[in-house]
Amino acid sequence: MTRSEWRWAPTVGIVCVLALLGIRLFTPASVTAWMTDPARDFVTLSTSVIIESLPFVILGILLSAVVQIWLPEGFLLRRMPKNAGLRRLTVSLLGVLLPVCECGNVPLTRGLIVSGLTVADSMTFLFAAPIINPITIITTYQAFGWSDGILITRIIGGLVIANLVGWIYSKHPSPGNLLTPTFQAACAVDAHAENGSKLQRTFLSFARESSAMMPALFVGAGIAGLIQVAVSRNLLVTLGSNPLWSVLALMALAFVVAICSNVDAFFILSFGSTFLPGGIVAFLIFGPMIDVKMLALMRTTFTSKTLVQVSVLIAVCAASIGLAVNLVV
Amino acid sequence: MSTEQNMPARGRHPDAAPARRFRRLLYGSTAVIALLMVTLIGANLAQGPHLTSAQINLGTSVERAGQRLLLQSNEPLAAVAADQVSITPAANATTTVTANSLDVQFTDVLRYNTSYTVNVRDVKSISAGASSTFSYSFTTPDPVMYFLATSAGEGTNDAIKSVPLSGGDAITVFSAPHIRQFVAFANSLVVNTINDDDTDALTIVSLTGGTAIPVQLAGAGTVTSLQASPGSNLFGYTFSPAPSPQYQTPPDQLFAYDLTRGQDYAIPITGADHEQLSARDWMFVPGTTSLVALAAGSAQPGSALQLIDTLGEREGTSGAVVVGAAQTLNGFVPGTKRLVTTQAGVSTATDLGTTPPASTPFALSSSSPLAGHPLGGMCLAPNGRYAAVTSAPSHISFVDLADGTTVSTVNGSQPNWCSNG
Repeated sequence: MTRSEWRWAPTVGIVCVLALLGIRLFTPASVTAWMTDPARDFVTLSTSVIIESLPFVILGILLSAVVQIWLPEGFLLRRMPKNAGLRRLTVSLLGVLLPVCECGNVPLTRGLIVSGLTVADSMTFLFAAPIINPITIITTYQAFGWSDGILITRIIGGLVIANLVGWIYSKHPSPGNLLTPTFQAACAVDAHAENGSKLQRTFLSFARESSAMMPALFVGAGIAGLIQVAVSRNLLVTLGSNPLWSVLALMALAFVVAICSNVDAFFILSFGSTFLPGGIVAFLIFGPMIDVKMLALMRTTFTSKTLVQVSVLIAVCAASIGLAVNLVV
Repeated sequence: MSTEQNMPARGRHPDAAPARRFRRLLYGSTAVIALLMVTLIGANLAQGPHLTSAQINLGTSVERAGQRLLLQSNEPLAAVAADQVSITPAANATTTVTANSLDVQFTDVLRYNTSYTVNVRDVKSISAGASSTFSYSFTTPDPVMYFLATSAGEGTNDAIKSVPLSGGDAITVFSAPHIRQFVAFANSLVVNTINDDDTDALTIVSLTGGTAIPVQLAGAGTVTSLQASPGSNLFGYTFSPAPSPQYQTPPDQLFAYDLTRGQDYAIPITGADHEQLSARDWMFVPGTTSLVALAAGSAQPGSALQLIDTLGEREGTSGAVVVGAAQTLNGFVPGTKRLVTTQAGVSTATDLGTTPPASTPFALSSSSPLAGHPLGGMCLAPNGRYAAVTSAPSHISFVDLADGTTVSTVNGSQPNWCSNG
């Protein structure tokens, strides 16, 4: 960024905010009144995903900038255990310190990769942190308490799957090939080596990550809204009473609704009397790791092939855990 | 960039062997977990719904008909037919299914101290598949009976004793030189003792070690009847003041006392004429805070049967309501609020659970025992399935009315069933 760009940046920002406020002021109270019901549902559902996710995405981007710019180089890496298994376990518990839901974890994971964490360890963090964080644990406890082992199974299941994914991908001979070329190029820019003050570099990092994340978030939210309009929720509920279909239906629901892990327990609580506990566990494990919005966000970082492999692996793991719960509880 | 060691430049071909090993690990792991998933699917489909929890209020199951056993399943259930349900020992019940709950409603009051087993076979989930049998066993409570054992001679006290209905050693829970009568609650007794000057005292005695609370009577006099409504934590009594040369006071003045208020004053019950009620006969309406009373001096046909809410009396929010006319109160049909009265030789059942109370003719006979009043030395249990039969001299037999067998016997009188509303 040039010196003159820095000078103009606040003005452009203020003008944009004023323009948005002006649009809001001069548009009718409801801009969806003229729409058909499905179109209105689409707008409402998509917007709700964006509104719910946006604070966490921004928090994730800020934490990513902190990790990349404000922490001394290698600060986290130096404190990690040398043993690979222990390191992944430690990484998978980092969510306790960085309580961001899954959408915020994508930029944070990107920051960790840029800071030098291996791709496999970063994947472990990415998939564990949405579940192993205090807000998610507390809301799950509030929703279900200790009933049917839902909370414990969610925590242990999330840890096991994230560490399994991390272990498998730690064996990849060329981890860089798991990343998109664009992100590889971004990784090549050393944040600590950039010019400017730390604050300026934070703004730059924020702008860069926002440019990568926001379109993905909007596309993901749009797809989530579209699928929810297209797929009958009644159909999903009807399937919920079967030990097999309850698991598959709720995993499909988790994939479609793309709800944030910090509040998903309260969302699925309303289905608690219809669905079997195993289905709820599968929902609570699979949803934070893989959903349409997450895939769109993760696509900024990982190749499609990697995402397909990981999605299938996580899906069979989550389904197995859900089915095991249905068998036992 | 510090991830360089992990990211060889694109286009450089990694060794084929490590790549193959990775693919084998990834796809092998996925396949193994998928196989586990398929096995779990098979196991789930081969297993019918299972019972996750059961709920029943054992206390009310032996007091009232219509109590429910709620069997909770892990899956929403298909409808259950009556012939799928068996109860041992036999008890009539209906079943309904709502989502994950199988509701077994007993149409009869259950027996005391009995182990019941409910089996529901061929239970299926609404998604069909395999079936299973739900089985649940529970044992109903063995109630503690209280009775009065009068002193064996000079120097010994009268005693109130407790004993399980099924029998066993009686335990003295209260003793005093002279006990006239008592009523029993779950955690306390209300005892009417006779002082040395032949006046009466009324004391609330804790069964859990609490301090005894004396009830302030309306002066010196005699407690002429004492009854309890254990479910409502109320007791009532009639009090006849000692004769006074200065002024004349009516006998059998009716009072009620709310145990939930701790140390409190007795509620003076007023009649339909807004005067302190002198009750010739009275009793609590089972399971309520109300009582019915016949005013003293109204023995002639057509005297008013008054229904009075004791708590309404205390708060001053309601008064006595005349619900009919009667000469005698015979008692309540067990398990109901139907009061049987007699007037001019005709028995009538008045349902005090309806508004206004509905009256129907009632055939009163010795084979239809009533709760609330002793009949020929026999008092019914609150559930109407057992009776305490008192025979001279001071001998009580607890009888199962289903088959007439004697469950247990004790030496004493005034079993607490005789004073329960």
